[in-house]
Order: sequence, then structure tokens, then C-alpha cells
Amino acid sequence: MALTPPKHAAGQLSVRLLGEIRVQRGNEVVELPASKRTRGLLGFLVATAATHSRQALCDLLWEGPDDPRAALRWSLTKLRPLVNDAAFEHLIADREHVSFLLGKAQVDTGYISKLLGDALEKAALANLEEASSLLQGEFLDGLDLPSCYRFHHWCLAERERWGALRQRVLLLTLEKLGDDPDRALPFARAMVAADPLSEMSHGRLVVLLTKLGRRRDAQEHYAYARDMLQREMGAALVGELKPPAAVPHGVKPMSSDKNESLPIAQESVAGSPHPAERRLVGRLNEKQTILTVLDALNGNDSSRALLFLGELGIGKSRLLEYTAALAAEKKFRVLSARCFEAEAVRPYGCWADALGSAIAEFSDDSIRSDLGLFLPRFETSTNDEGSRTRLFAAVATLLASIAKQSPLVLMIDDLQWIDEGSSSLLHYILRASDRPQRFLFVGAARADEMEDNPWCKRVVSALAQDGAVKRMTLLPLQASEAAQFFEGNVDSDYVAVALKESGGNPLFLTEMASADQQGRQSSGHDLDALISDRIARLNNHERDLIIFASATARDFKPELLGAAMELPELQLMERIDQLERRGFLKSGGDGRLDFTHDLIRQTTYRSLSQSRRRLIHRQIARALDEATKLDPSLAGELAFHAGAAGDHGLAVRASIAAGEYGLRLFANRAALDIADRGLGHLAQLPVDSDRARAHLALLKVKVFASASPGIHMKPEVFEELQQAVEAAELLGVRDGDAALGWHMISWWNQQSNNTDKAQQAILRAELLTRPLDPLIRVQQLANTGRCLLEVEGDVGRARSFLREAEEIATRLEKSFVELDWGRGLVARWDGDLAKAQESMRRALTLARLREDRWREMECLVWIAKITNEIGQTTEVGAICDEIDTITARIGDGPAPVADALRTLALMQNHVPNAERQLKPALAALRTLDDKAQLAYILNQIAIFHLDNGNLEYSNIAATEALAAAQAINRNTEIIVASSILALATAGVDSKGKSRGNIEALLHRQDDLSLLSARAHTFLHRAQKELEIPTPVQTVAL
Amino acid sequence: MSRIIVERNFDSPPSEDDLNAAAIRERPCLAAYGVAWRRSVLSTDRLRMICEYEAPDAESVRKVHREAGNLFDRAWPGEVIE
Repeated sequence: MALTPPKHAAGQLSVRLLGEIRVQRGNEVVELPASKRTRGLLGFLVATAATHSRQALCDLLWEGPDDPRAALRWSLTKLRPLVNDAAFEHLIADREHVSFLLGKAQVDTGYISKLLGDALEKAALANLEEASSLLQGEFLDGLDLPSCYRFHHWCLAERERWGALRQRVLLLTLEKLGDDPDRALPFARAMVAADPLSEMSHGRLVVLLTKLGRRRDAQEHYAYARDMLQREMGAALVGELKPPAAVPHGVKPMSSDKNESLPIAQESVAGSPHPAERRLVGRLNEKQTILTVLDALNGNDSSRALLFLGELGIGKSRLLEYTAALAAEKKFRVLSARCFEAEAVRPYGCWADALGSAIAEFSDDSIRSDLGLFLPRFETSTNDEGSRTRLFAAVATLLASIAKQSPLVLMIDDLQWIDEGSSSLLHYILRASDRPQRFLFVGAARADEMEDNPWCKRVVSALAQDGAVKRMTLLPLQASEAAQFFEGNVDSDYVAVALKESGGNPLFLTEMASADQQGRQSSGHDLDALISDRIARLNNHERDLIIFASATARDFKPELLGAAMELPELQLMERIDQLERRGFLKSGGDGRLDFTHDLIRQTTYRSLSQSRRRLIHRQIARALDEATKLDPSLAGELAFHAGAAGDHGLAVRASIAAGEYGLRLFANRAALDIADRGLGHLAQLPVDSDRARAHLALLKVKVFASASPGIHMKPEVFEELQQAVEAAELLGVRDGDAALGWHMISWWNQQSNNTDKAQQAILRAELLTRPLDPLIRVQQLANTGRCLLEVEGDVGRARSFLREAEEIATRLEKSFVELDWGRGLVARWDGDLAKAQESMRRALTLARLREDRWREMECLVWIAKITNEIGQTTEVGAICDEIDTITARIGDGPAPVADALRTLALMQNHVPNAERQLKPALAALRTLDDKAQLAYILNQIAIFHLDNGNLEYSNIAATEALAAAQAINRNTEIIVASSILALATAGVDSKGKSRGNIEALLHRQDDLSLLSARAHTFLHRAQKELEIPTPVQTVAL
Repeated sequence: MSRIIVERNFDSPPSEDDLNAAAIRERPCLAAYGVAWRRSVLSTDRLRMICEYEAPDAESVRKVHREAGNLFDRAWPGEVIE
């Protein structure tokens, strides 16, 4: 039964979370604050609909700024009037907590969940179709805040969740529409659009087109998809995409796409340049001011700064270009650059861009040495002794020297994204007592987005207080000015409509004029839609290029794009040339290219699915990786792209390099920020010695960056450092890295007047330099190896630790519980259950000899599990009795795990009522919160039911097992549960979904050869029964 | 991640050194099991202690304590009500 679709009753609040966040009251769209963090906060509160402490929200979104609580207060003040009204207060905040009460508010995600109900497979077709239409756009699209890593990871996880649901809903809809290819076609198109890298989606589209008799379209799509998948995935296809079959008899071929609702635009706009020719319409007052200020620059009474403020697309950048052209006419020297949203990863980015060529010209070697930090490929030896003040003074000297030769105009656009270092330097230059004469700074910023950036606010308000800045807020254009955008004699009514729809925004007017010129409908569309339409009309090659360019997140060198896309130079330049002519790209300084407007970049990027974005970022990261070795200033960019690609290892490595680069540039805030981002990625890596080293390196950046005035050192950093050093030692890191960690801890304790702890830390550092007692070493190695196997951390490393422990133990002629325990786990991992049982028995004997009750019990639990897996189920009960004896001796009651294993064995032996007895045993395990054992036992129950044909029970047990295994990240039990689920579902429903789930599972595994034998067994069983080939795996890029 | 509480009772009041030694013993295990210590509260008579951790499940916290040889009475998952 279909639900009543969401109606926007008068005044009723509705929130859209899928796509760009949108709030409506009735049918009126509510304008949200431009601040991304504020919109992110609203999205988070609505999506979670729970109570959060203010501290948690500050940690989520405002960890960096000086006063997070004030920033949160400001955001709440902006949001309250937008969502609350006299009838109902949705947003409630007291001194400590903030909640969003849904009340009668309509939220798209909630409505979709209601439409689909608890069991997706049982949802009605009409509901699935409606849900498919609502599941458009990425979750909170455009609210990417990589510097708020907690929010960022939450947001990415939600995107994954909703993206996966979208795919499942589309697939299910498609399957239910199997007999109606006409109706199914738009859903197949949508599936391809949602995940362009899914071979299965392309395969289904080709089949549908063939069924409809459109063999030519099917053939074309097949060729396009085959080439694209092979190029982007870098691997052979698995066989889901097949060439179109012959047209069935009796089907009339169709030649057009007229029945489709989601056509892929192929229309070319050959030869028509975009009308965004660089003409400046209106702005007479501003032009006059610019002229006056520039004229005065030769005299002594000159303004120091000119600042253009206004909304996106209002013409700020165009005024900067006008200023630059005018200054150049007057033979002034012009240095210009712009900030980028992702610039916090590149300290002093805009200064480095602006000063690049000027530094090379400057003849004073000592100053050039100080400023070498701004140039690519600098070596650390350039200046290790410097300081931030010396760096700033060197810039001031450089500017003064240039200004002596001719008046100097420094222009920085998009100040709302300025990084802390650049902002401090600008502040220094403009307010220093010995600031350069004949020097003018011209900046531009989106006033409403400055709130997100404390560094921008700081420099702008300081300039305002100084009185030496002329601030000019750009207003919307008038009717007479708007008319100039349209060619020919358009009537005043037409202009009035255009003016109303565009709000007098020049960029909007330009896009409307472009649409008119190409005969497209312009009225009734918003600016995003007009730009999207223009992008959609590019041919496939041009669109591919602009898509890659949009992911660079800043201006870019063509070579980078060429390397990322693996495109020959000639083709690359041809495509760039076309895109320049069509007004998408423009050439900047230093051979770089940029979008003509950031909105084109944003719109292009937002049109990409999450999986496509990840792949493109991965290709860019790969291209940047090499370049970063020569130019450390690129490390921040590399970290950004690797992070967006989900390549956490590379992101961590690049974050360390970027953090160290920031420290060398004295950009301590930026270094702190990047180290925090790196720590966010580090948490995703498996526990091993490489991770331990990376952890120490990131914390080192944090400690060094914190050791500067104005940055408050958090004691938690040292708590974390101490844990990291100890974990590193345990993982075998016993060299300079760990010793440095102890030295830093010692330093902190000295600072805190804790002399004892400082001495202890020094002793620990010294201990690292001494050779370790082999007895302790073998225990540490065996313990770490065994532990890594238990948590499935890094099995390769666990093996090598155990091997090393074994060698030492043989030399010492001693036995160790942990070593035999570890050997047992390795044997079980490899599928040699008899050997596993034997090793575990030896470990048990040793534990008993040493009266180590805990290890005795743990070994017995493993023996019970292995015995069960061997199939000796009648012996399990006796082992469980032994476990109970030990727990009784320790003083605990009966162990729930023993109870569960014993009853499981009874069930496997078909003892009557055993299954009923399992319920309290499982309940006890849940209460105990032992997810590892719960996942294992539930999986064993699910296997039993699957083998006995009780698919529903098998499904229920495997579902809970999967959730428990995912919560503790145990890959083996995740794979076992997923395989059982796929087999159980395939038995009662169509095989399509099951196949999809197993294929997704296969693709998620980095290396199938590293799975445990248990995981392999069940994965193979699912593959075999569902007829799924093993994908060809490539080495990670 | 769940919030896990560990309850401990002592027969005689532990000294600062005893507590530090226990903390040092369990630290290496914390990382391996994905457990993060958050805070502890020690009663004024130093005979009872509550420790708060963030962990994937309560059993991981128990394992950390047992491996470190730190005695405890109970470990259970919970929610913070403020």
C-alpha cells in the first residue's frame, strides 16, 4: 500500500537531506545561512533527531576555532528562526544540550524509510518507484567539511548508507518491472547514473535497450560502458556487461529515445562561445572608486586596502580583473592569487601563488633564502633557523622593494577561504609600521560565508577598525544593466522577469543569456539548473575532462589532469581549448587553469555519484603522489585527494608530510589541522607497526605545532602520545620513533612540573636503546601476534611476530602459553583444524601449569569452537563443563559462552528442545556484550538452519551475527554472515539481490588470498551456489 | 563504539603507584583491542573505582583487564545521561 505522498501543508516544515539540504515551509523555500558548518549542524540535528551535548556538537564541527561554544551559539541563533515558529519549536537548546524535535516536520529520509518499511523485499512496486524518485542526490551534498573530521566521516558513512539503499531500491524496482522494459528503462538509467562504475548496472541497461528493440542504442552504450569501465577500473570486466543480443523476432526496432525520462545528453554546442565574455556591466561607482584609489597610489595619502564583498556570482572577481587591467595600464606591478576552499591544506597557498614569480626576480640572496619556503622543491636546509616573524618580514621587504620600482597592487580573491597563515601574513603586511609604500591590497570575499572562517573574519574586522580600508558591498544590478546581458532588442517585460528570477545576479543573468542564445529554456530554472543543463550538453570527452577538473578542488596544471586521466597531451589540449571557448575554464598564471566560476566546479562535482568521486580522487592522488616527492607543498593536496578516495594509508602518509611542511613554514594551525585529519584516517587502518609509527609521527606534528604562543596545548595529546608509544613498543617499534615519543612525554611532564614522571619517561626512552631481555621479547612478540590474530588486525604481521618468537623460544628451550595459543590460531586461520586443536591443547596445559586461569579459560573456549568446527560436536559439552569449572574456581558464575557452545552442539546433534535452550544462553551473551562470541555462535546457528532448509531462521540468526561482527570489525564472521544471508535470501527470493551483495562483498576485499579459511569456505559456497565468478584483483593504486 | 563502565573494588586502598602501574599494564592492550580509556572515578576512601572506556563491546574491555592482570568486578555497556 502506498503512503500518502509528502504534502507541504501551509507553514509545515519539511527538510530535504538527500541532495543539497533544503528547508521548506509549506511550498516556500527557506533561505539557509551560507555558513557550511551551520548547514551541516542543521543536517546533523535533523538526521539524528536526538539530543546532543553542546560539547559533542562543538567537537563535531568547531574543534579548530578559538571559541567553539560561541560559534555553535551563533549557528543556533541563525537556525532557530528558520525552523521554529509559534506553533512548534523544533530546535530546542538549553545550556548543555541541543535537540531537534521532528514533530510534524516532514523529512525526506524518514518518508523514504516509511515507504520501504522494515523489509525492502516486501515493499510494493508503487512505493519502490516513489522511493527511487526521492533517492536522488548524495546525502547533504556539498557539505564536505574535511577539516571537521568527525562530521566528515559521519557524513561519508551516511552517504554510503543512502547510496547503497538507492542501489538496492533501484535494483529491486528493476527486477519487479522485469516484464515491462519500457517502464524499467528510466530506473536502469538512474542506476547507471548513481553508480557509473557498476558493470552490472550497465549490463542491465544494455539488456533493456535490446529488449526494447533499440539495438543501435544498446550497442553504443555497450561500447561506451566497456571502454569506460576498463579505463577507470583498470581491470578486466567480470562478464556482467555483454554485447547486445540479436533483436528478438517480432520486436519493432526503435530509433529514438523519446520514451525515456532520463536521457543522456549528447548534444554538442560546436562553435558557440559562451557569452560570458569578460565585460563588466554596470558598477559605475565601484569603477570610479577603483580609479581614484589607483590614481592616489603614487601619492602619500593612499588607501591601504580595497575590499569587495557580496554574494556568489555578484561580480567581485570581475571587479578584481578590472582593477588588474587598469593597474597594468598604468604600468603598476600586479600580483594576484585566489584562495580555495580546500586551501587549509596548503599553508600560505595564496601568498605562494602571488609571490612566485616576484621571488625569483628578487636579487637579495638572504631574503630569497627566507622566502624559498614559498617556492616548490625547497629543501629543509634552505632555512631551518627561521621564525614566522622573519618570514613575514622577508615578505614585507620583498613587497617594499617591488613597490620602490613601481606602485604595487596585491589582489587576493575568495578571502572567505583564506588559511590561518595567509591571514596572519596579510594582517602583518597591512598593519606593520614599516609596511610598503605605494602598495595597495585589493581583496574580495563572500560576506555571508566569512562566518565559517575565523581567520578571514579577523583580518577583515582588523582592517575595518583601522579605517584604512574601503569596503564596497556589491548590490544586485538594475533593470537597465540587466538588459545589457541579452543580445538584440529584448523587451522590458522580458528583462523584468529575468531580473526577478536572477535577483540581479550577473552570473545568473549570464547563464540565462547563454541559454537564450542556444535556444534553451532559461525562465523558471535556478542558477544551478542552468549550469547543469550547459554541462549536460558537452560531449562525453569534454564532460569527462571537466569532471576530473572539478575534483581537483582548486586551479590545476593541465599535466596533472593528463596524468590522472592518462590522456595524451594533444587530446588533453584540444579538450581544454574547447572548454575554454565554451566559457567553462580560463587560463590563470603559471600555466594553470581554473573554472570561470566556482559554481561551475561545484555543480559539476555534485553531479557525480560518491563512488565516481572516490575513483577520480584516487586517480588524482596517484598522479600527485609522484609530484609530491619533488614538491612537498603538494602534500596537503595529496592528503585531501587520498582522503576523499578512501585511501586511508596514503592519506595518513600525506598528512604527516603536509604537517611537517606546515611546521617548516611556521603554519602551526594548519599543521595541527592536517594532523587531526590524519588521525581521523589513521583510525581506519589496521593495528600494526606501520600504523603505530604513523600515529607517533602525527602526534609529533601536533606536539610541535602546539608549542607556539597562542595555541593551547591539550593534556589529552600527551595521554594519547603515551598510549601510542606504548602500543608502538608492543608492536615492535623500539627505535628512535618510540624514543622521541618518550622524550616528548618527558618534556611535557617537565613543563607540568611533574619531575617524577618526566624521569620515568626519560628512563623509558633510554630502555629502548638497550637490547631487550630475550625472555620478555618472546613474550611480547607472541602476545602481540596472538592478539592481532584474535582481533584480525594484521595477520601477516602476526605470523612474522610469532615466527620470530618461535625462533627465540627454540634458542631459549622454553615453552610459552601465548606462543602455542598463537600457533593454534594461525593453524585455524589456515584451515588446519587438527593442528589448531593440538596447539591449543598444548597452550591449555601450559596455562594450567602456570595456574593462569584466564588463559586456561580462553584456550578452552577456542578448543570448544575448533572441536565444533571439526564436527566432533559430541565432545563439546565436556569441554564446556571444564570452562564452567574454571569460572567457578575464579568466583564467576557459569560462563554464558560455555552455555551457548554446549547448547549449540546439542542442537547440531538434533537433541530435542536444544534450540529453545539456546535463547537464554544467547540472551546472556547479549547482556554480557560479548559481540565476538555472539557473532560466532549466531553464525553457527545460521549454518545449521541453512543446511537443514530453515531459511527464515537462518536469515534471522545471520542478520544479528552480521551486525555484531560489524560492530567489532571481525572480517571473517562478517563474510560468513553475509554469505549465509545471501544463500538464505536466494532460497526464498530472486537470486539477483544475493548475487549483488556477494559481488559487493568480493569487491570490498583488498586481497582475497588474505582471508581466513573459514571466510573462504563460506564465500566459495555462496559464489558456487549463486554462480558468481571471482573478480580479477588488481594491486591497490 | 559503546561506552563501557568497569567497576572495581579494592581490599586495601591502592597507592598512586599501584594505579599508575595498572594503567601502564593495560595501555598496550587498549590499542590492540580498539579500546579507549575516557576517565576514572576513585571513591574518597580509595576502595572503589569506576572506569569509563569507549570500546566495540564490553568483552574487549574485559580482555584488556584480564591480559593486564588488573582485577575488576563487572564491566557493562551503558549510556550517559546528563
